[in-house]
Amino acid sequence: MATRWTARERAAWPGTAGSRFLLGAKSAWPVVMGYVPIGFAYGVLAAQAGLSPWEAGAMSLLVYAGASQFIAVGMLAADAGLAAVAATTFLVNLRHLLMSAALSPYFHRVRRPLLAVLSFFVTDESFAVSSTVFAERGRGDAGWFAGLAVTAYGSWLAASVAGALAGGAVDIPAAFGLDFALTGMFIGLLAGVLKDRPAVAAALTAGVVAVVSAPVLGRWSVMAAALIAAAAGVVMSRWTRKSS
Amino acid sequence: MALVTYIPRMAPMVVLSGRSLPPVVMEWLGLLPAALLGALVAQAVLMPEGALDLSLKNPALIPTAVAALAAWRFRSLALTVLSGMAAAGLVRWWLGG
Repeated sequence: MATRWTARERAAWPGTAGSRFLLGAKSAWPVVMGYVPIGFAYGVLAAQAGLSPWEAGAMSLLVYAGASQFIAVGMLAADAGLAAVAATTFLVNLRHLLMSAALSPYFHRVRRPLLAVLSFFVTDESFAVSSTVFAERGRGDAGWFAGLAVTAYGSWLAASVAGALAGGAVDIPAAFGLDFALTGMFIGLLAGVLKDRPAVAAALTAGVVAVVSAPVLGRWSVMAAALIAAAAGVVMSRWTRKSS
Repeated sequence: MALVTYIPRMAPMVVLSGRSLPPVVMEWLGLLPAALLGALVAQAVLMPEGALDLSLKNPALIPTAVAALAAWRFRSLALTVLSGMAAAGLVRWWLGG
């Protein structure tokens, strides 16, 4: 794999690696704005589920995925087994497969070991910001992405530990609506992916299948519904394209 | 948990660098996020206690409507979450929870 940039590719990202890192850190602010309330809510819920601030912080440090952490905390509070938690988390994280695949062309000259590090920081939010910027500039930049990633990661970690400390110290009343934080995040993320008719059809189908199959399939209903509905969406979009 | 989060993020970037998948697979992967989130939202909103609850007493209905409106109007994750949480808090307070 070639690792040298052409002159034109270099021109897309001028300046030193340090200045590009700082530029990335500045681009992180919309991500930070989202992470602070959601991370705090996660910390409070983790504390209420019996996790110490250390444990809640370690999960943010090692897992770094809002939706998965909320689900894990909810399942741990409901005494679900570790295998079920890991399986559900994996399914929820499958959406990152596509984001990682979509970013990979922008990093085509970056060495694989560095990619293995950068990819840890692919989240719904960092993906949304970086894919827009990379598309504008024509290629990605590892230094810029690192600045974005480290800033967002730091804010997530700090907010979740602060939430765990607050949740462990005082009884935070339901009036703050923290139990709705995860659902709210799902709604916000869903609104972001409903870009065309097949996506809307897939989401609606999955919603119906998930609710109908839940009494039978239990925790696997979300996975089953998603796999079926995405396939149905593909069939639907190909069929309408052919018939029109 | 750390592993099952890291692998889906890492594998495509490292394995794919340079290659591409068949269009059907890309299309299916492209619809997975919408399908997954649709399933998650439907269960969270319509089955808040684990059983289907379509009555007006379902405490998630109003916050969901508020959050959906905010998502559509502001296109901001933070505002969507915060307005939904505020509505959920108000509903709880109103119901005397």
